[in-house]
Amino acid sequence: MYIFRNAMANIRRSKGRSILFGVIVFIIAISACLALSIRAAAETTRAEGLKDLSITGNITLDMDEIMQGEGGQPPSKSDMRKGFQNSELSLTELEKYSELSSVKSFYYTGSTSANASKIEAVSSSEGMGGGRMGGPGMDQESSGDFTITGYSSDEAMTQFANGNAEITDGKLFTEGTEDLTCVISSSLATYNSLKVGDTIKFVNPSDTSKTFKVKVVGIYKQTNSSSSDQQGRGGGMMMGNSNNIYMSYAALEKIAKSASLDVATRGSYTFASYEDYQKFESQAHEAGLDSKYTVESMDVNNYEHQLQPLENLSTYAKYFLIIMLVIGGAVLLILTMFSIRERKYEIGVLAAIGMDKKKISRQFIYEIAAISMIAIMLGGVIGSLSSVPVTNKLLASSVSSTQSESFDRGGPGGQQDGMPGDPQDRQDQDDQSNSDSTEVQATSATTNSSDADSSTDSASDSGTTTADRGDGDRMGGPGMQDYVDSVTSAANMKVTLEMILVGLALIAVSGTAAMSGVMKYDPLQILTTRD
Amino acid sequence: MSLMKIEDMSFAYSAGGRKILEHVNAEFEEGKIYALVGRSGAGKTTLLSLLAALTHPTEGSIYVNDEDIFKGDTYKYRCKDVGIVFQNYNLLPKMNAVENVVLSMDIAGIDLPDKKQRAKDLLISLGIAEYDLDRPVLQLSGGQQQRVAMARAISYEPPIILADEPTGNLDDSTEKDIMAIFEDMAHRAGKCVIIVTHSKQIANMADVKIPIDELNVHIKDNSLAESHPVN
Ligand SMILES: Nc1ncnc2c1ncn2[C@@H]1O[C@H](COP(=O)(O)OP(=O)(O)O)[C@@H](O)[C@H]1O
Ligand SMILES: [Mg+2]
Repeated sequence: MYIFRNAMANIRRSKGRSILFGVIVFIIAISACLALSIRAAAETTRAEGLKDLSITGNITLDMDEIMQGEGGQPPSKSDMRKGFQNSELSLTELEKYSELSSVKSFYYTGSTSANASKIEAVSSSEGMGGGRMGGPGMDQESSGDFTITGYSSDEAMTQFANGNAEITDGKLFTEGTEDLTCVISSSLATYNSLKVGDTIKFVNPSDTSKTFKVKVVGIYKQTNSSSSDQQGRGGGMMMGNSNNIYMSYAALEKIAKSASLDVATRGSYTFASYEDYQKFESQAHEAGLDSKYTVESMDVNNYEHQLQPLENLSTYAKYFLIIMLVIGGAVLLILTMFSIRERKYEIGVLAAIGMDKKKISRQFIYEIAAISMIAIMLGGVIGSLSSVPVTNKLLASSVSSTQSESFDRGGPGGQQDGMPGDPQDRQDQDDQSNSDSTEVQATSATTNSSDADSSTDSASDSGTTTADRGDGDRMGGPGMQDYVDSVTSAANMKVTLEMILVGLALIAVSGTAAMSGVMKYDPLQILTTRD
Repeated sequence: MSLMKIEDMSFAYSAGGRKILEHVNAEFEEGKIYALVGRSGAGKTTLLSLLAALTHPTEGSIYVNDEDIFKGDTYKYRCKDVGIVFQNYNLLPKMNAVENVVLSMDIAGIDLPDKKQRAKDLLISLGIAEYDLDRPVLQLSGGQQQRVAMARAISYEPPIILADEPTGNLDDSTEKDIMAIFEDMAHRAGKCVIIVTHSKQIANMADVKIPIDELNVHIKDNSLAESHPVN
């Protein structure tokens, strides 16, 4: 008891020394608290964002796996071609994985391209660009002017579900119908004076003898309901969409059979939670999915992209924390060693009058612990109170540096790691104009290997040669405005616990230094060599 | 029966180094003042350090109540059984007189309701003015610090009191006061008081005068050589 009292009295008696020690611990504490708060904010924001996210995922080719090649050599074109060629997953297979427990619902779309007799595709130089990009990657002779997309269910028509498109005239085709009915865009309707009830005659672009007729039951219009400025910037894409014809998958299948058209089928799986989404991949592999496939979700990718600045900040915070703790710990260690040297006379006297070294050490540790606790509490309180504004301030600069970084890499699209060679991926971006609900459609069937090849080339061209267009045609991807640029909470219970650990570590470091110093001094030596 | 006994004790500051003390034998009793005398550098302070168990003998040992003090807890021995008045006082400079005294009582584990009051009474009885009680000890004069050191040494009532040149730099009247206190402690309170001094006056006031050279076999054997400066 007297040891504790003596320790407290000593803190008061040596104010300068106590304050110096306290200030150093305070600086470490406030830095640690801010760094830990930033990390907590990133973690919380991510967890909460993912909780609120409705996740649609797709089975896609694992580009890394295919691009890996053999013996460290980049794969030849033919190797890659083989990779893509064998990539087709049949609808039966896609459906098989939809049975897995992690899947909430499953839908699929098919698309093909065709020409039409009598009517003309909406075109403009910009529109053509968009249209070409929007096609299922078939840039050459077999590509038609129109993209016909078939949907397994209404749920699959995400652009209608999320309000980016709406029927303005007539009605949507019946869900799952085999009737050859479709909806067309209002631009196409206006351009060709088409109205509900009219019939369009389509032609197989590779074989003009194969034709089929589809009845227009409705006219849709793209709306700029949300993210309007992204939509605006994606003007080219909208023109491309004007030539999209929508119908039921069953109807498309019927047409494809009769007119010998290739259909690219993509399955989408929706998940009730992020955990389910994560579980799905391993379940699918267990159920027999080849290792060259991976599960991807544009929702998750987009969200993670939005978190990029926060994640970067969190990484910096981690390094800052480590540096701060190492340097701070070292400074504290040295300071303790010096102050013990300075106090060796005191140690000698205490030992000479019979206070044993363990008690002397304990007294010194009490002093260290008391100052540290006050400093850590102050640092922790001030750190937590300022954690949200400080995090947001730092996040703002992280956002702008992430932005300029991604500009350097050729627009926000540069963030998307997906090798743009996946043709479906690209088309998809055009299909869904709202980034928030964008889905990567599961790529199953590319029609033939040369398609995949050519689109690989064209896509990488567009990415490197025309930064502007790269920006535009990546509209499906998140724009820079989407970055999470503020957090609402930072310091939390976990930070408090971590701060306690930091405090204990600091006390342990300087306490150990104090103890070894106390043990080192021999009272007689100190007392006799003093004068 | 003696309270403290030195048995065939030798001491060197370093292993194999010069022996400061060699085969020393001595006995000390309660209620007496012993004056340890000898020329400067003879080893008086060294002997006192050994009696205080601040260092260990090279050979032999010291027994208090027939117990080897070096075999037990020397910290406990110092805080309970001996009171030491160091040559340079060795007070804690940031504390005042009362705090210095109370700390020693605390370390000794004295369980009193008001240790602070007892420390004050003790200091006042040793001649410290009331207004000097709560000043940092470094602000006190040498004589005052000497008194505080004595108060600290006797505050927990140890049976043995060791004092190293307690009157070394004090004026005559203060010297008399201090000696009166030692006499009181030995003759009235029955303590065993061992004082190192080179003052003839003090030595004559003591009950037993011990010239350190007589204790020391090594020095005795060479007492003739001593007069011839060989080294
Ligand atoms: N800490 C020490 N280390 C080594 N030698 C010492 C130490 N203290 C004293 N001595 C030596 O021991 C001898 C006795 O010293 P000391 O006991 O202080 O003599 P006294 O107190 O009788 O004047 C001296 O020769 C001194 O130099
Ligand atoms: Mg001496």
